[in-house]
Amino acid sequence: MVIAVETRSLTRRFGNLAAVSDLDLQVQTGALYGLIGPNGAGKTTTLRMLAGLLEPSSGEILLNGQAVNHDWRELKRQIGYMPDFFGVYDDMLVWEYLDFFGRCYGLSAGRRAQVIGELLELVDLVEKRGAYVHTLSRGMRQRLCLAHALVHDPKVLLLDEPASGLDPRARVEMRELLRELGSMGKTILLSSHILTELAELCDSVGIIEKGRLVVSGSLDEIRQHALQTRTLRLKVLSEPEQARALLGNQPGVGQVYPVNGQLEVEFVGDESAAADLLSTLVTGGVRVASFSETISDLEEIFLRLTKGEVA
Amino acid sequence: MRARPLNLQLGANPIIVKELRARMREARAFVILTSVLLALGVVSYLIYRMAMVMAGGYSPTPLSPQIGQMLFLALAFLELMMVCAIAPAVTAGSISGEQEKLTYEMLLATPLHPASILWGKLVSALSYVFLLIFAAIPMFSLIFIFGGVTLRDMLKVLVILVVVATTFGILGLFMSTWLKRTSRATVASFLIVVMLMAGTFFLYVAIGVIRQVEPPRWLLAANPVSALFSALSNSLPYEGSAFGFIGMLGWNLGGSLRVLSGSTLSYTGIPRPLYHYSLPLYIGLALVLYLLSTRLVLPTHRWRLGIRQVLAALILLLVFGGAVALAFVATADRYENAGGSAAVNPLQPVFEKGMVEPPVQVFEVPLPEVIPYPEPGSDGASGSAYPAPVEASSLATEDQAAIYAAVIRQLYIVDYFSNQAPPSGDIYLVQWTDDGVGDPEVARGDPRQLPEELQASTNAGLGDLPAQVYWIGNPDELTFLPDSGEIEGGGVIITLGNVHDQGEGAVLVSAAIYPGSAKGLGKSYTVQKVDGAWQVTGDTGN
Repeated sequence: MVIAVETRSLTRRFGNLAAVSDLDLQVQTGALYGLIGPNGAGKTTTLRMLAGLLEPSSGEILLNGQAVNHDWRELKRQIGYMPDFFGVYDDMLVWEYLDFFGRCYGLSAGRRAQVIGELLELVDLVEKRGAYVHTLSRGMRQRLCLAHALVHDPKVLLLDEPASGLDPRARVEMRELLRELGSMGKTILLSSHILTELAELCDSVGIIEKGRLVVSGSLDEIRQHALQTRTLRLKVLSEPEQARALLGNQPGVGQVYPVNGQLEVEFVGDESAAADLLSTLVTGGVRVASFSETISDLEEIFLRLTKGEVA
Repeated sequence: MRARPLNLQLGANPIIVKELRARMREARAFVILTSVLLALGVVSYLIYRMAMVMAGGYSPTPLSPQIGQMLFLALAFLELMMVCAIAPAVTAGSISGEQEKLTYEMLLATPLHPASILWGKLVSALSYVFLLIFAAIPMFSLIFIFGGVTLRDMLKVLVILVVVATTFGILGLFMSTWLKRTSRATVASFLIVVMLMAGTFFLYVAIGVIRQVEPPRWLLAANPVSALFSALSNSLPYEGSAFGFIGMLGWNLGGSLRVLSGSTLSYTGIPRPLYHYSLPLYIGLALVLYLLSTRLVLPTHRWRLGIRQVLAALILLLVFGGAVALAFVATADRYENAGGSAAVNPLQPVFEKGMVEPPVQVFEVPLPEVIPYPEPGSDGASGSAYPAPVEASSLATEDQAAIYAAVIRQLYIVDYFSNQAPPSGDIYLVQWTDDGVGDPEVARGDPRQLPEELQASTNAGLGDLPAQVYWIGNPDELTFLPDSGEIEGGGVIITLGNVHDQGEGAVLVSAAIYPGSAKGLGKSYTVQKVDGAWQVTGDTGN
């Protein structure tokens, strides 16, 4: 597999605040990669650096294995970027909008005419060709903006929150559109803070928090990674401090958090190891009222993987 | 990113295509254009009526050229005001507007260089302003019906309008890239425009009124209105003509505050017109602001300047500076004081264009005219024949005597008799001063009787001359030979002017020497204290 987008210890500081620090990201060619994280985690900063809009404080960006050092123009030719918040020119027709960006990318007149037709068909805006851009609905604008990022037929698409602010129907349309683009062989790197969106769409996911990549890989890989460390939830009737002390000494036990009067324990080991842990607790004099394993869906995984650093 | 301080891709720049498409589609563009032309038309008509009504004085109907001049001046002034109001406004939103509309990121994500974006914005905005300027040219052609204005004046106005529009456009552009908010950029741009127009003028007037001197002209060089009027000084109707407000404004803003400062000093020579300074100033300002904007507009590497970029900018500025210097040197001989000589000299003579100055500037001064002295005791200044007296020199009597001695020695030994045998006979010094003797263009007069103390001290300073020195009240006291007009017994008459302070320790003194009752020779000397002694260091001929 060829890596389309790679970053090596990519860092961006704003003053003392590190918005992105030591980010090592790898996106396979043709992948639909979702970058997920809470607001302010550094998703947009990362995408803007990849789009050449923001200068990294340190680290490097590789595109198809080539380091992008100074040739930002070449980078911009290979990348289509759709920002999370964008405006449209009031006084422009839909076809002029695409024509304008076609000119920006230096396409010839013939090529522009052809591309505009194709793109309008792709994003289903053929009837709106002669309409003013500002009369379009939010979903249509989003699709038009996606079309503008495709004018120069980029290999890599960077989409910052492509589905934010869309009604359910528009969201489904956007999803279909992205699937179609994926099937056309484009590498798509999109960000979102909505998990279900990514779970339905992406084949790989990176979880980012406080500027750091917590985990990255295909959904299955992440699930397995998460399942290696189970989360045991136990309710202790008395002496929680004693229980915590006892747990801390056991093999396979990671972090222990108090959650709603219960304890959540990160645990590496199979079910028999978990049973051993329970008996150890009981023989140690801890009164255990309940002992169970939480089920890991993506949301759970996300919460678990990001919790430690948020707390 | 390669250095592209000036990206001249007119046809290919997508921004220009987009902006022009959008701007010219709006009805607003045509409404503004139409109303501007209508307004100019109405104003032209009103000025024509006004010229007819206000014509008074010597002639019941104004001369046709006068109407033409008034129309021209008014139209040029209106156009300038329009340009000042519109140019910063159309560019102040160019970059900040994109940022506010959240369209800038997408623009920057394209391979389009930010400098191209800037250039495209500037060209498209200015093309609209230029359209307004050029659309009014047919209105200017109205002036040719009446005459009185040369094509050259028209072209000057056009050049000034275009330069001012470009500079103010770039000012708005710079503010837009710098302040990142259209509202702030607009306010800041207009503040600077108003400061340049009203601020410089008020400062100029204030200095004139408070100090009662001709204020420094360079204050007005930054004023676009002054630049315009200084370019039109040939076409400006003369003072006192039925012209009204704009004419007054024109005179004052054009750099002539004579009315305000009440100076008696005549306007000497042909000073270099203000717009010669204004245009390079504006173009230079525009260049610097544009170069700064090309850096400010970059999203990354904003101040990481490559050596090539710095060099390119420096070469650009140097070439511009060189071109300006060359233009100034090439036209230097047409203007007074162009060689960077001393301050404006009130007694300096006027020379017509192209007139060759004599190597030593000596005037023939008729003796009889020195003589109309007022009766001793009467107030010389109150008579209308004499201008108001120049303030008496504050120098001590000894200094004044030394100055006069130096002047007399220079005139007597060096300048007058340099090619002749040493003179015989005495020197008769006239007790009454006359500022006019050194320069026939300066009004004669301001006679003062030099005090006896001063006379005596002067004599003491001339003790080494091979002639006796006498002070006389009036040349009438001498006897002239009837044939030759020479003084009986030989000798010369010398008339002195008052001592005028020139600042920086220099004084200016006129003096004339008469070998008889026929014409004599007059000069004005600059006298300075060198090594503790007063010495003649120059005369007005440079």
